[in-house]
Amino acid sequence: MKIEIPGELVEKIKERMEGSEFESVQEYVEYVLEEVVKEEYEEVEETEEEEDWDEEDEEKVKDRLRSLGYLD
Amino acid sequence: MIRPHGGEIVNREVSKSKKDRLREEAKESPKIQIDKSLEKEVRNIARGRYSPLTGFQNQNNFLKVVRDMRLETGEAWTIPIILDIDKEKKKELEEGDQAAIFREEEPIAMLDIEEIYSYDKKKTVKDLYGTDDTDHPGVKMYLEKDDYLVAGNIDYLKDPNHREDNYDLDPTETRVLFEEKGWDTSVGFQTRNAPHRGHEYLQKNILENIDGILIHPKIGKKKKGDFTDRAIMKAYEELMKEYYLEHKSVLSTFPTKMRYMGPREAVFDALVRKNHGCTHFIVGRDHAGVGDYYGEFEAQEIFKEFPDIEVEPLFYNYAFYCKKCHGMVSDRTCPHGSEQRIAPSGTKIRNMLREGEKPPKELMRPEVAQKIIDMDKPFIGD
Repeated sequence: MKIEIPGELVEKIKERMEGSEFESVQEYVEYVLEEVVKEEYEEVEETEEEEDWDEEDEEKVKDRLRSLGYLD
Repeated sequence: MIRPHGGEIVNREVSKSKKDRLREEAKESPKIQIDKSLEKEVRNIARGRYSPLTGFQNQNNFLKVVRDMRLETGEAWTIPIILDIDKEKKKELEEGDQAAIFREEEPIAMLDIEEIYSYDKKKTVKDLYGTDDTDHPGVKMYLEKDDYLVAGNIDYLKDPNHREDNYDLDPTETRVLFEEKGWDTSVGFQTRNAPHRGHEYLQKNILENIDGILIHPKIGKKKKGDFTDRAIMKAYEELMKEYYLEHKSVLSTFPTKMRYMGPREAVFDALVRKNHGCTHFIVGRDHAGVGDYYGEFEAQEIFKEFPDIEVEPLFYNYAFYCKKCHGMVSDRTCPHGSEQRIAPSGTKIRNMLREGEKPPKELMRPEVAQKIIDMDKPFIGD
């Protein structure tokens, strides 16, 4: 797959790359996209866990209260 | 169920995957070492006891709390919740970066450093305590703080199941517990003492009108001569197993230090118990006071400034035994003179127990007294 990047942006990326370990614009863009995708994945993962929180957590709380003798 | 302070119970736990990642990052981040007392505060923020706080307070909130006893958002808040650092540590930290909060070798939380600021310690102490007398144990503790404060939200890294003790319940847990017990109304009782008959009278008196009581001792640093945490809890266990209805009473702990901040601490105590689900809160004579730094009823009068806090304070004077009434009473109910009255003086009771002597049964249940007498070192500093 080929993705076009505006020339102006390519120039800015090249400026950013100066003094960094990136050897090409492609490498830089790949790295940034990987980070974005990773963060989005993590956010999705956390949201899903939070959505399940209420019901599951209430049960966990009750279990804990039982184990401590606060509930029968 | 009463709304938590600020609308919802704060939870600064993160998902397991994020926690694993942050624990790794903590190893490489600048470290802030904290003591046991501050570790309790990190947890109190993280698990919602201090809702709506989500971290350590920035300068604007700090000053607002010190001056106006409110947060910038307008909610009542009377005691700054702060993280102090010294000059050397300040050099290592950058606003906008993260720092790892460590207790010994263990990462406790990650802090998003919002701000690092200095503060006028002497002025702060005077505003908070009404005195800068270093004989005041709270003042002394405060003046020992480092010179800079670091603010920011925290992400809690410890195992959520870690507790100070088996009585350490989070606000979410007490709220579920009250619901399971069917309590529509509940009253919080703060204490730093083993129970005498005056406390028992007051607690049971309130249970005539309120569905349940949360007896909630502060567990943490206290001044020399106070009961140890263990003595307080053992004494309450002994009392409650024989004399309290299980479905009407809960014994749990509030892990934090005593600040001896009198009126301000009374409001703070009420807000924390509101977060735990209490609709009412008991404020006695000289609540959280020490020596004669505060007026007898100053801790009750301050509530006039907070008509918006939703948790209802219940004000009590002290109870005493009346030889003519043959029971615990108060000056609201007893017509007899002082010659008939035996007041349960905390100091006298502690002195008797220290000497291995049981106080009169009218003032302290003999089995409670015996429990304390049998303990090794029931008082701090003995």
